[in-house]
Amino acid sequence: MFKQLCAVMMACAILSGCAGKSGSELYGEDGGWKDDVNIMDLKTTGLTDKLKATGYDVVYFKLDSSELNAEARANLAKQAVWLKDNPKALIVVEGNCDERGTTEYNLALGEHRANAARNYLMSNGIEAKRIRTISYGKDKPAALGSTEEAWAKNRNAASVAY
Amino acid sequence: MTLIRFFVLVFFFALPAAAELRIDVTGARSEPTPVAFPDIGAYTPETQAIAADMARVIESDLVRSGLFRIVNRDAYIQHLASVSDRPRFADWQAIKAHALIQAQLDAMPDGAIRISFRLWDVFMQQQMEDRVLSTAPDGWRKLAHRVADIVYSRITGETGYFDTKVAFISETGNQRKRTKRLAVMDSDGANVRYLTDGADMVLTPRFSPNMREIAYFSYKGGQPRVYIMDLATNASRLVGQFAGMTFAPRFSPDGRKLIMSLATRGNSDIYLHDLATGQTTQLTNNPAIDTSPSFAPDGKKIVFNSDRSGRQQLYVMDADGGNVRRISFGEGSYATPVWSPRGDYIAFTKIKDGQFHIGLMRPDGAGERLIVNGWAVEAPSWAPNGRVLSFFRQEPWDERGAGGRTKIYTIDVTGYHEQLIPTPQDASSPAWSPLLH
Repeated sequence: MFKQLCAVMMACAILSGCAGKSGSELYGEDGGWKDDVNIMDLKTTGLTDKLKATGYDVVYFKLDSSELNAEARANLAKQAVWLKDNPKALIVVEGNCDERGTTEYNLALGEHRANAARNYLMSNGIEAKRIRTISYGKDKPAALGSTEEAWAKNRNAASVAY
Repeated sequence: MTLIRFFVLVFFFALPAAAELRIDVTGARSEPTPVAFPDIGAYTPETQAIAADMARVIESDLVRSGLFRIVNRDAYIQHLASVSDRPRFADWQAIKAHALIQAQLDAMPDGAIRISFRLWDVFMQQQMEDRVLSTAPDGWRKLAHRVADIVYSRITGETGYFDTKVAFISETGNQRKRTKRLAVMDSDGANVRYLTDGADMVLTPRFSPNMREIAYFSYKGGQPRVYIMDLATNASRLVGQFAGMTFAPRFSPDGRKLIMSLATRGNSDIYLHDLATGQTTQLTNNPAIDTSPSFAPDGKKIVFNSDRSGRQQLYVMDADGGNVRRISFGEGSYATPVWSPRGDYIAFTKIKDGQFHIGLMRPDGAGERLIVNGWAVEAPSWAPNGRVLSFFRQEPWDERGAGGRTKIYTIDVTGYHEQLIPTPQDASSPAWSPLLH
């Protein structure tokens, strides 16, 4: 292997007439041969489904509110435990609203809900970098239909692991 | 000719001004004014076809305004063969027409079409308008809207609004998988043009004052933010670089700035973004939700929505964010305030007792009046004359996620004359364009 490499380098030097620069212009000082990148298999498949299966992935809110009630805080505390048990998992917290508000206000409200959940997870020791937030306003309802029951389910912050 | 004009002037000044045909669009409800509109004269097969189409559009515009009705053509006594024929006013008075539109369409040697039309006050026996307009044949629809605008404007004293566009969100699919596309159409629902393909959900389009751009909100790339689309190229550009979600955009009256909300880390405040320099100024700083800002037409004040009092209310502040004061005090939640282009009203959405309403109030909050109500009505947008609003209604979804139909309507500031704008698919979030001419 070493002999072959020497032969290639010599041939290259002879052809180009400048031994010191072979390859460096294209690949920088390290050359193109450096290969100490270590790819780790985190072996964490199905994170989305796993978090969902816990039932702690979603917390619900009162009408027009982004305040976490006792049940929501308890769920988030358990979600934080799950995140600690699955340290390689990242989450996006999706903030949602029922359809009984205006589009723009609901975008803001969804954002506030997602961040209320995020802040509580952070206060339970989860690093900020693991949690992204997004608001879907009233445009990603979890429950179908225009009923009080559906609206209650759609006022949520839902964590999706990946 | 000069002599005739002299006599017309003498005649005109000899009468009280109020005697002329005039509809007050701000007043109480009145019966539609009867207008006689004989067939548009045309003398070749080509112009006859276009004239018939134009007559339909003109009639539809006038009737949809709610202010006019066309007197049944079977009743017409005089046959006006050309636009130069003098009306026999007794014949038109006999069928109780208050106004008469007399028009003729000709083909020009260069291929253009030319409409000549006169508007007559039948009782005063006076000519109110005498106009000749021309365009390429494929511009017939716009030409027809322009004629209707002139008639509307001459009789009401208000600027017309038929030759305008409406940007909106075209919706398809069920509640689980709703596709929302940015689209524009003529004010009567014709010429729908789709501007996005539906791959990314888009919301809340708003025209720039010069009508060359639309600001809108999109989930493009999985990151919800405000974009501006150039209507000439259909290319969109991201507005600014912000660590958070930008939403609720509207242009300043001079078109140089965009006012919008920025939500970061669970707080939504209002920001002013200079489109030329990229400079951004924070206007509100409050832990509550501040959103839906809208400029006064003089650019000096901004109305917005905030829940800082515990419930959504409307506030007015100076353009630099100073001098904030609350203007809404009624029961319920107030949202989406929009300042009229005339400056005299602020339109809003109100949610009270499980019902949605579109309402109006003066900029100081006085004179609140609800003009539309329904299970879900939202997104008032002013016609450029400030006398008509568009908005949308939504129906409830059933338990399988079907239904939820959205449709765009227009209504007068009086609260009368609600009219559907027919669209090929469901349609929401209308944004009326400025006047095109």
